[in-house]
Amino acid sequence: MTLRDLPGRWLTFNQTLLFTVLFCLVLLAFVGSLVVGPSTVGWKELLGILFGNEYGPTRMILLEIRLPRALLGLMIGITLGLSGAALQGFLRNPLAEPGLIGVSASASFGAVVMIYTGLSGLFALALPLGGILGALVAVFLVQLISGRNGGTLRLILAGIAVTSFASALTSVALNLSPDAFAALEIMFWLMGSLADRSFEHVWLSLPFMMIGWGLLLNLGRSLDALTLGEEAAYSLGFDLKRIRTLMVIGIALSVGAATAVSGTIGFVGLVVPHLLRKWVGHKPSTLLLASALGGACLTLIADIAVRIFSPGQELKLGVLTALIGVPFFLSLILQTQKNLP
Amino acid sequence: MKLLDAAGLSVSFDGIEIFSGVDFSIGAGELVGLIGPNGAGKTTLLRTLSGLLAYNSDKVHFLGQPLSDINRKQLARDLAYLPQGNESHWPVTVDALVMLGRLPHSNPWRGPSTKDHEIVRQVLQACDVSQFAKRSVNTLSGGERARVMLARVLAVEPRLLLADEPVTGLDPGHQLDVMERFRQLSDLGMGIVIVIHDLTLAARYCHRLVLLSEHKVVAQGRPTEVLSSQNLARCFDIRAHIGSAEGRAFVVPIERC
Repeated sequence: MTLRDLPGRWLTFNQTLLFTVLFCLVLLAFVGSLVVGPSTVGWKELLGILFGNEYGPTRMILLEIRLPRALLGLMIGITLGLSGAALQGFLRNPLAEPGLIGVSASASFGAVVMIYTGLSGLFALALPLGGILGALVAVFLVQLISGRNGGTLRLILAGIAVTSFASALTSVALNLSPDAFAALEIMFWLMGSLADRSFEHVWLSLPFMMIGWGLLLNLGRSLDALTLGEEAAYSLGFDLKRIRTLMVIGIALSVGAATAVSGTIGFVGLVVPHLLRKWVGHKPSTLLLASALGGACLTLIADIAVRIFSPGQELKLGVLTALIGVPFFLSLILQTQKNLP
Repeated sequence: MKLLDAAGLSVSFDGIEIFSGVDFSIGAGELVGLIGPNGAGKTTLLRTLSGLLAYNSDKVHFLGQPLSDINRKQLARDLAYLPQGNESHWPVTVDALVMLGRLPHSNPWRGPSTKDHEIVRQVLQACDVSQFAKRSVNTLSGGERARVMLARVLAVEPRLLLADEPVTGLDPGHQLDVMERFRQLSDLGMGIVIVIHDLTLAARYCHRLVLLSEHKVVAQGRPTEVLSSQNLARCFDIRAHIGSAEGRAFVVPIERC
């Protein structure tokens, strides 16, 4: 009997290694996110601020600007990776991404309404609150349209319908925007970014995300059972309607809150589960956690990259993930084609 | 002991009647073969009995309780269903796939136990797939995959097993193995219902056959009684040679009649 066959273990040796590596990478990226930026923070300074009594402008920058940004990168990355893995597992389709069920587009629209009406100028949290409200409306609509059975096709169709409608409404807001400045603000916000966020954003979105993460992580066994198809999963005691409802709510809360504070950051939720799947033996439950860590890692690194490569007029994070994501995704598709007999 | 008892089952999809007025029951230790022409409703009957079709679930009683009243998690430990098609949506390894059969028994907060590993090892061996244990299911042939899926459903260790065409696609040697295994399990007290098209295997191994055709149960009882020339002509439109060799029954279809 080798180590990997020991009973009572969730993970094989390789998977333990994978999780250790991912965890270390996330930690490195997080620290990197704290030290990289227009004003460099040295290691000694960092430790002094975090654990000692170093005061001054650097402390301000680190705690008020960098730390919330790094935390949001971490949280949003976890959200995107986790919800992407959950949705792909549920639909048993590696092409699914968290935005598919209409949550991202609706959250964006909710936030855009706040910019459009000027409420976001009155108090800063109007923007994320509008986003979260938009996401909740999306869940309600998707659940309503996709009906009472557990079917996956209707869920996808409902998601597409809600996404299209929310995007159309966002276009209306842009179209009717009273001045060019508001339109530009909306455009920039839609691109997705972590710049200039504060701890208020962290505290506002964290509870929603944590509830969402809990719901999604809890789906692991159900997603494993779905490997055998819907009927076999049902006969193993898993209720599809319940799984779908929990998943939709979990994604809406976490991705809705993420979109509400950062705008749309694409491709992370699509690419990360795809990349890590073979390392966890294609097992949907193990992929959930791996993908959460992978998502955090990728989002933090991408957010560091926009600071390094485009100082000044910073490239938006969502633009960068799309720029890197598309060719990367294409290469993945080409690779899978090569592996076919 | 009666495991499952159903009376007056009627199913129609979009106004097209699949069957109506079907009664079915099975006791512990019984191996029942469900036979009938394509489209007779064998799979639909099996799905109804397993509780997959919600609207008849009050008419199906498992251990005296209507299916609609039984907690699904509880039921999943006692009643296992093997669907047709042997689909696996992800290329997981064979042992990981078979371990899914232990889900109804395992604790959500712990990994598989020693007992789970032992049971998986046994069913892998019983279905002659131990040699593929670490291979990915999508590298297997159709017949090999069918045996893996059978191992998965046997890993549940149910009191009642409903299997849709478990021997279809298997080579003759493995067909005999699987049928022998079913007989052993039924001797140990498991109730087993299988949908089967191989009439010779059905005649040799099943305790009882249920012939489904013309939207109803046309005949049921001992295999020799059900597999009569008249029944085969009426339901399958075939003339068949029914005989025995070395003391074992066989059915060879000769021609359409």
